[in-house]
Amino acid sequence: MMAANTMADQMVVSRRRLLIVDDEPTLRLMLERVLTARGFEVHTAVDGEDALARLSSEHFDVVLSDMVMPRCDGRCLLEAMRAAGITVPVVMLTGYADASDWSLRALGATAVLGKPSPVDVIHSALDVACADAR
Amino acid sequence: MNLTRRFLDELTTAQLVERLDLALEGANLGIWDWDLRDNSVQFDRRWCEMLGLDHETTPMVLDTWSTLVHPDDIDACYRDIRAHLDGVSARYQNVHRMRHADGRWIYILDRGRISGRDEHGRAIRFTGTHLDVTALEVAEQRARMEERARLQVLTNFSATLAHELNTPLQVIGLAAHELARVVPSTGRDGDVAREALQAIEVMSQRAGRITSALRTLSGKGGLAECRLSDCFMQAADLFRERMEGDGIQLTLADQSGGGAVRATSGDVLRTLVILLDASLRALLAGSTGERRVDLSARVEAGQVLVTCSDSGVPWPLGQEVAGAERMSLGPSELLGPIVAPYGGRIDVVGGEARNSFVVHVPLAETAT
Repeated sequence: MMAANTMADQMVVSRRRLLIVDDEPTLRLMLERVLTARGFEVHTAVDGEDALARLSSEHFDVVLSDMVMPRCDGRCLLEAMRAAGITVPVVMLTGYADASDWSLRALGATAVLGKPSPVDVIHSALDVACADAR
Repeated sequence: MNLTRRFLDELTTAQLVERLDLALEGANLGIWDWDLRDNSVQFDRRWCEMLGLDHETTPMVLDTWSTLVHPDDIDACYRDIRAHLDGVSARYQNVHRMRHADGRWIYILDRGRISGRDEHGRAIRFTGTHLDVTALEVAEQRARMEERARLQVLTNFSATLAHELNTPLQVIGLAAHELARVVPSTGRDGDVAREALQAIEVMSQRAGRITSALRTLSGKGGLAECRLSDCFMQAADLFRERMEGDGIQLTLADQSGGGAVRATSGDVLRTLVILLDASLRALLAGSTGERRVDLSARVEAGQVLVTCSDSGVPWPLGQEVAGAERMSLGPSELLGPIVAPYGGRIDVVGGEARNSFVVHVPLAETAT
């Protein structure tokens, strides 16, 4: 717990840019609140297509994405990012796939979390994704 | 009995034959009478009509029957006939498909027995009946298909339900976490709020584990090495609350040492769910002494042994259980088709007023 707090303190300083991609506004809002408090500079997108537009023109340190979304879903986002050469780490947060969904990992997802995941699990996955990207 | 005897005595042979014929016709039975010495067979008119054949021109030989039986069914017919001739079965009975003259396959319930022996006791005559059971077979097949379809709907519904609940549960968990951050750190109100938020967080996590188990149960996912310990936790999440509510103690003892079986996680969890459900039903039907269920796993000679025992009414459940319940399949029948493809088997160990089912499945390393 102490270690987590220390890491959180460091993040407040670094303000890493996080893009949350989810079509559910309430979940987007709650994730934004919790992860802003965690020290991220949080931006949001409503689906994969929206996210891709942001990722093509802005820098992000990490993406936290839902799986099932209209227009372009999580799988579509991963494929489009790979095709466009965008290497930002992506943590998938999905109600469908098992946490061990190898096909999403094969597409480049850094971690696949099942919904609902405890907040500390989401924190850890984002921390690891950011650390690996460095 | 005397009245029957007197009634029969008063009938002429012709009347007897006529009445027998009426009975056979009423029962829609065709008759065959096989002479084992030369393979000639007397088929009656109804036997022929059942297959769309003309009685006048039908060859009265065994080949008439055998060439019309479905090739996939003929071996089982001869096996059952042999079993009766060898004295293994009291009579011959087999359901097989036969080609009707109009080209369709019909299902025949074929029954018979030895009707004559020579002076050495060898069977020389074999007589029996044919009954067209196509409608019954088709109805049973339809019922089986409907059962499968119902299970499929339930399975899909479990997956959908799990998915639909996951997002609200995620929001509840995050909201509780966020509120906990701003609740006053001192004072009675703060204590109450923190307790309430902790309860929300704990319960939403528990609900999350249940939806996760439902997702596993819905059977998405391919063959993989499944650790027993993970599936034990999921099975317990699905049953513990219910059992505790009924005053039943559930104990888990995973001594598999991280042992894994190569199976779909859905099949492993389904196996555990069937075992626990059987124990729950046995205990709800009655129990002797302590109400408890013990689920354990251990590794022995390259096999994972999962044992589920309870102190409930022995299987098959006794008379005190409602009729519909007694009609349902027992754990062995339900588990057989699930574990057989993995080279597994089920042992039923009774005694000492306890039900005990042991499922053997090869360890992942030794499974083929």
